[in-house]
Amino acid sequence: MSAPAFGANTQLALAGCTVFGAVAGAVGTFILGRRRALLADVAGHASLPGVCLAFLAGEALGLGGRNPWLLLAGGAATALLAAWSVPALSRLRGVGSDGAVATALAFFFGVGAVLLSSIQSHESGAQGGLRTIIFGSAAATSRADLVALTALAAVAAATLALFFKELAAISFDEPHARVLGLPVRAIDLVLLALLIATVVAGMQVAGVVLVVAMMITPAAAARGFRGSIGRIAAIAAAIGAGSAAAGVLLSLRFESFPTGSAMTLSATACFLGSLLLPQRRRRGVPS
Amino acid sequence: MSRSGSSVPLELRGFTAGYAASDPKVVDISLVLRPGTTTALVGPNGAGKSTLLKGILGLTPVHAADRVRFFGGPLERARDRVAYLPQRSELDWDFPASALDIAAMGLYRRLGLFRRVGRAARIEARDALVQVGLGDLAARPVAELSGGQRQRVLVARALAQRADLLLLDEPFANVDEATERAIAGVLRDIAARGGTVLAVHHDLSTVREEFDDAILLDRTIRAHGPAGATLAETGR
Amino acid sequence: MTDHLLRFLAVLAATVALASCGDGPTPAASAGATAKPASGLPVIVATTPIVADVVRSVAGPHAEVVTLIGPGVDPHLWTPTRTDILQILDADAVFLNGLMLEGRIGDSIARVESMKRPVLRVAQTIDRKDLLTDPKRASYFDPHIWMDPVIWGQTAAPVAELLAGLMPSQAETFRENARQYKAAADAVATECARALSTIPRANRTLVSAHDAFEYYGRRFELDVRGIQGLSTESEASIADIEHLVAEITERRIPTAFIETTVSDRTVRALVEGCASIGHDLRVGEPLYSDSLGRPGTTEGTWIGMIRHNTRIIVESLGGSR
Repeated sequence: MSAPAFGANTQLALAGCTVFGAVAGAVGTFILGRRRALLADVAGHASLPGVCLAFLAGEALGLGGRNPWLLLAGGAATALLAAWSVPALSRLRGVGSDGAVATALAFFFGVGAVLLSSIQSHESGAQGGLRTIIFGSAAATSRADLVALTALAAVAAATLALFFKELAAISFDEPHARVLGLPVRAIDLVLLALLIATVVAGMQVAGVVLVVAMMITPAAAARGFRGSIGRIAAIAAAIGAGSAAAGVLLSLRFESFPTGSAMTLSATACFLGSLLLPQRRRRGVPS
Repeated sequence: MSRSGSSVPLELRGFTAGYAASDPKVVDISLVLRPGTTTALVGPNGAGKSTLLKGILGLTPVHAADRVRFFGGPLERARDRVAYLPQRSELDWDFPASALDIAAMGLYRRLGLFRRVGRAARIEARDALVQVGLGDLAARPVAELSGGQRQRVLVARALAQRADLLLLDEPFANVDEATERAIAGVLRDIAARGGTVLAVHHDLSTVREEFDDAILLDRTIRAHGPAGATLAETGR
Repeated sequence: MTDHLLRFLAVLAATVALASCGDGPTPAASAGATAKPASGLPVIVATTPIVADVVRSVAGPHAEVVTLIGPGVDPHLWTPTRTDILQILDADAVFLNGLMLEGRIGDSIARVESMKRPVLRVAQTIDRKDLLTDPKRASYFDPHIWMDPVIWGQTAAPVAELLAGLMPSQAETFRENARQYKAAADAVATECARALSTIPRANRTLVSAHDAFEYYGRRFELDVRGIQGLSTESEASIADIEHLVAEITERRIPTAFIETTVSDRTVRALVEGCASIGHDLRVGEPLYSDSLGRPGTTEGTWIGMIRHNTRIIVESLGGSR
């Protein structure tokens, strides 16, 4: 069989995934480190119950369970709820931040699994669309998907640019930021919003399970480089975009390679490559 | 920027704070810091030294306080003049920032929301780094700095902020002697220029030479005065 | 704040519990009962509605047939719930399609067999030489045998034999029912062949969301293309979509078909791909591929489903009625 043509479908998939990869890498720079990466994991998995509930609501209200905007909105809502619940849970006596993350992840994903199982028995037959949200279906990226992705990316980029220094200050030293009088709670919400936006963007192309990987891995790879925060964030975005593009092309070349996994493996390859950088081997004295 | 208000950098009266309301870490603290001095906050482990700092800065629950005054007013009105340097171990040193980036963070409030860190701000941050002896390492990622260098970066951040009151938590933990003396020197320079420093310190042997005053804390204030006299008085 | 949050989560959990019990589950699954029905009839469990169709037709009023998989549910992805497993374990006989159609059924069937209860995989009663293999993996068979009426009709006799073993007094009734089922199946095959023969040569390609129609294509001489492979578990690849777009455009295939149990996303992607090279690919009404319509409707029976699909295919590909 001859090499497949570089047609409209490939272009759409390439464009959509690249845009998503760039956003994920940039946002990931601020998510990585200090429990926040785990929070991203929680958010990704916690979108499952929201998607299921949105499906059920759509069917019940006659809006059609396959409406993608409804599903995405539902997923975003529970992802937000879960991410928000983690700090609250961690303050409970004896729970701590590890316990909070584990509990939230298990609870939300568990609820999602139950809902998914009950939807299976649903008569409408529209639940096929749910699967693509869990595992992604980049191959079938439509023009509408691309438009939505680009819009989301533009908003995310603008938000990052506007709040860049505050995000950095809070990521590095939150108590200092609070004493200095920076609006810590508001910025935390901004970061959460960026996280949710990335999860939503990733749902269609990478699936909620792999979205986190595309946020964290490029950011981790970028840390091997030297430079200012801005430069590193840009490198993370570039690695994210590059890995996503590589994933699409790999998936094009090797038919049995699902796009979502190909993207993640490319990002991991970048990360492993970054470990070879000379900077990585020179570390200061801890603390 | 107005520098109105009293010149007393910190005044506490009847201050009680800590996570558990039934068993607070610090009880009924009253103290006044003299401007232009460096003060060591010493005491046994678990005495509540960190809790005191976090409490007065609103980072830990406060259960009672007759008075908490920063330059004569509440912290809210003096935020630009107060700098907090948490324990180094609490910060994310893997965050991909350079020494310059961190030093510049002291300027963020002054710059205001939505403003970039421009050329002028970067020059100020660089000057602060030079003052703490890190001029050559401005572009170095903080992940590659030693403990002592990292501590200096935090001090530079406070310098860039032009803070008048610096509150440091264990600045000399895991720092070699020479660096410790150098940083103490920088702190004394700050005091000489009118600033005030309060640092949680763990090594009694160096208090006398590095600090003007000392506060001995063990849940309550046991002693407060010039370093040499205070330590001698308590038999240390 | 924490209290509010925890209360909200508790409400959410309660909602979930309600949603799981609420309407949605098939009548079969919601029956939930593992006790014998008051009628005293033997309880037969069938996995897909299509398997249930042949079993019901053969058993007639002499057994209670329970269908585990609802209409509109994808059998490739169906995972039995605890209730389903209990029903399987309690049944007097179990019928499945087999050949890996119910890919996620797990080991409950093995357990039933080890208890020496009758189990029949209807697709595996067909002579191997009549089965198609997976074009991508030669050691696997294509399970979608119900798409070929002549082959599907042949499953009735083995079903009758198993039921006869269970209820010997009705053996002749079952065998007669099986003969009638097969006759009806053969008749519909002739009917469809006639209708499908009116489709012009150039249009004789059936493009659908997944590769469910190979047997149909073989019987009625149509080329078949599925975007996803034999099972919907595999993700559609860009390469596959690109190849299909090229082929569809080159051969000017007019219509692609969506399926009731599979998402239409991939078919829509085909349409966009074709549109970009100037070919207007239309999307036909949904075909029933791995399931039937709602019970009680014509399409809720296997024969009704075959007729429904054929009508749509004939109309969409330019044939006459």
